[in-house]
Amino acid sequence: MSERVYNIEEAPNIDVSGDRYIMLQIGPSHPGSGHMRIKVWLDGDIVVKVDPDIGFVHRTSEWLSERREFIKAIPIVERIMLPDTIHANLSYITTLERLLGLEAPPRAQYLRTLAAEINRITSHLYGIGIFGIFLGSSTVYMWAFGDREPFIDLMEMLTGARITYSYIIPGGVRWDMPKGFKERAEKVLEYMEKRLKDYDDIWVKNPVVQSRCVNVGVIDKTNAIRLGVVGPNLRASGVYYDTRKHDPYAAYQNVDFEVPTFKNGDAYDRLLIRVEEIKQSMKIIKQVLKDMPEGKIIDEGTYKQLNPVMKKVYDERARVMFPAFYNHMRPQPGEATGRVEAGRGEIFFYLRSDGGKYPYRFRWVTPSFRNLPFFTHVAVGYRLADLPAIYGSVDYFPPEADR
Amino acid sequence: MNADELKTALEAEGAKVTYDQKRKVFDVFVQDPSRIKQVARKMLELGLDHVVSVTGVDYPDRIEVIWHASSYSVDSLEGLVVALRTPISKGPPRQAYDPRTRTYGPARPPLPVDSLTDVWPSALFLEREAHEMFGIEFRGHPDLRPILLSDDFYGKWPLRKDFTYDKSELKVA
Amino acid sequence: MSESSAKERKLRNPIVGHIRALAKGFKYLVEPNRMTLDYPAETMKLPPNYRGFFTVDDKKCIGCSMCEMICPPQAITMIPRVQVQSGQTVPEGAGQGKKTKRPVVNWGRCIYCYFCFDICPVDAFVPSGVHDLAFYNDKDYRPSYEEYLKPPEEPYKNSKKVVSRPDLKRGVGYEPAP
Repeated sequence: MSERVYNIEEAPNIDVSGDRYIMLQIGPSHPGSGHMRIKVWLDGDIVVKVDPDIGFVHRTSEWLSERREFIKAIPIVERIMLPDTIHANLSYITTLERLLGLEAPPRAQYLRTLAAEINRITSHLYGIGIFGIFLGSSTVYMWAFGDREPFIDLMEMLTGARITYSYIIPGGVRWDMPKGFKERAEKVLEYMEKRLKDYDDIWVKNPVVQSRCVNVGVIDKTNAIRLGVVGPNLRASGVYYDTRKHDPYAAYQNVDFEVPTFKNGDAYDRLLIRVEEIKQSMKIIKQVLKDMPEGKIIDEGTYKQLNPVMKKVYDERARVMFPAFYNHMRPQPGEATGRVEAGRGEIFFYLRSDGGKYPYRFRWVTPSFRNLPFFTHVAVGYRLADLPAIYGSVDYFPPEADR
Repeated sequence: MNADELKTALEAEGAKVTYDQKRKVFDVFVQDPSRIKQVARKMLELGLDHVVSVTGVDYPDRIEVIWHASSYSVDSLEGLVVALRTPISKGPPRQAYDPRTRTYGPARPPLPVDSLTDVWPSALFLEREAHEMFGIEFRGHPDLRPILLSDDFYGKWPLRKDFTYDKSELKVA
Repeated sequence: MSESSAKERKLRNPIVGHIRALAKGFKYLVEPNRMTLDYPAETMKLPPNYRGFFTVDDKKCIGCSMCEMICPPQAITMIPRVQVQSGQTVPEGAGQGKKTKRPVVNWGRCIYCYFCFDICPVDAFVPSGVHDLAFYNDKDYRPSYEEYLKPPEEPYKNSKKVVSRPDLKRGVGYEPAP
């Protein structure tokens, strides 16, 4: 356990140009997860300044999506954040539906919630696994990635793809729940509940992990709010905020769940909060499976525009085909915003249409990018050896920040 | 503090406020760019404590800078995203590509507007991004280096509508 | 913001923690669980809606170009239909007012989003059930016109077909396909 040496309020004012401080570059060739360079200035082995240098995997996504039809943005938004593609998809469609004035029917909303929560579990398991490899535990890395597999299999059953689902469309979802999905999902949840106890023993409550994470990378509540931290990292600092509760979308106002928060805001709390959120997600999945309403999975207006062949496909195979207007969707001029709580935090989309074929302005803000100012503060004052624990606990995903 | 009270309070500051609940757009339009810091301070006072997004929108006659602010600490404001919007006048347009000089005419300096990083420190990296993408100079920002783009791309302002690229510029093997 | 919900964490006693971690490690040393698939000796039998390679039913296709328009990575191009007449390839149905185009896919660009399946007004696309093809040459990404008409050949035909099953003991396990 190490104590913070420098105060984070005074640390940014330290002049690091002299001989006293050594600048160390960590990355950009994969310091752990993805391509990012962290410039660290050291006083002895104590970090006095951190300058994250990002942009190595910038793919000009906003530019690309402003030069394509609205429907073609679905695969692009997914590709910025592969561990939670459903949330990117859902966030974009929520925004687009507000612009188009569509509303998905209840069954589609429940299916969206179901897919989002399964995806949140895979995303958190991904985060926990990467954190494991940062601290040198390849066991938990293998376990977490292996235990993602049953959940990915569930999604594969639902959507037909492992990672890039493209599942949610304006007005509904593309496929209904297949037969046998519910039984299978219940089995997987039962397994995961049992398995989380194993995780507790070998990783979460392991004394080695505790001694490396407790009181490391502390960020208090005031600073977390001031720096605009999002997602589990915010809640680990004791701020009760979750977009699912405060700005509900999909079917979240109908399900009962808690938003776990912790007080200390250190690396260990950021690990615990992910485990707690997996438990809450499983609770939501159970409720959603139980309360899943009957009915259409696409809104009436869109259904009416399907041609007879498509309607037949819908009735026989519960698969929604696209009406022809999807090719040239032209929303009314105006703007809309949408927020969704993804695995790593809040995604925000701002969409502006001028009545044309392409979005006039399509702004993406991803959780990892919003966690960057936090990143510059959280490691200051700790030893260099604590940096992997801090970086791993933030669950930072470079391609998501770079877009 | 609910949406209506927020509206009244911000209208007292001289901003034009519209609220579209269906599209989740709470729009605070400030015509005079020199007044935004004052309005932003008022917003912070009212409980909008962090910035979600900073971006520009390029219109034919102006560039609008938008700060989307939201709240973590005031319960009734947590469902709102408040857009603080101000127009700044646009500089000269980009000229056609000249293969001899390999440029698009003279360099266009970034357009100045007040930075709100001293009100909202969470805007630090978001303003850096808006700077390199739209060519908006945030006066008072501590560190306006390019963040996502490489240094040789600086000055092209790629998200403005007049951005084009010439095939000879592409470094394709 | 409600303060009351913040949880108090409990740290485990180091001695108890070490013993439990070691015990758990020993348990998995004695009975390890294999999560991996012995590919290509075993291959997965995929669910019927799995999004892999596909073909176009040439009889159903009306050549409307909707799939070309919606394709996000622009992998689909419409090419003229041809038929072989006395040793020469000539455009089929040209000049007779018939639809004369059909879609071909560049597999190097395709992202398997299946938007083309869903926009097709006559439901002419057919999934092939094959997803694991590899190409030795970038020209092979674009098969010839005739090759598009028949579904891609499945590699490792003689492998053991398995399906994944959720297993309470092992998480993901594999059992022979029914």
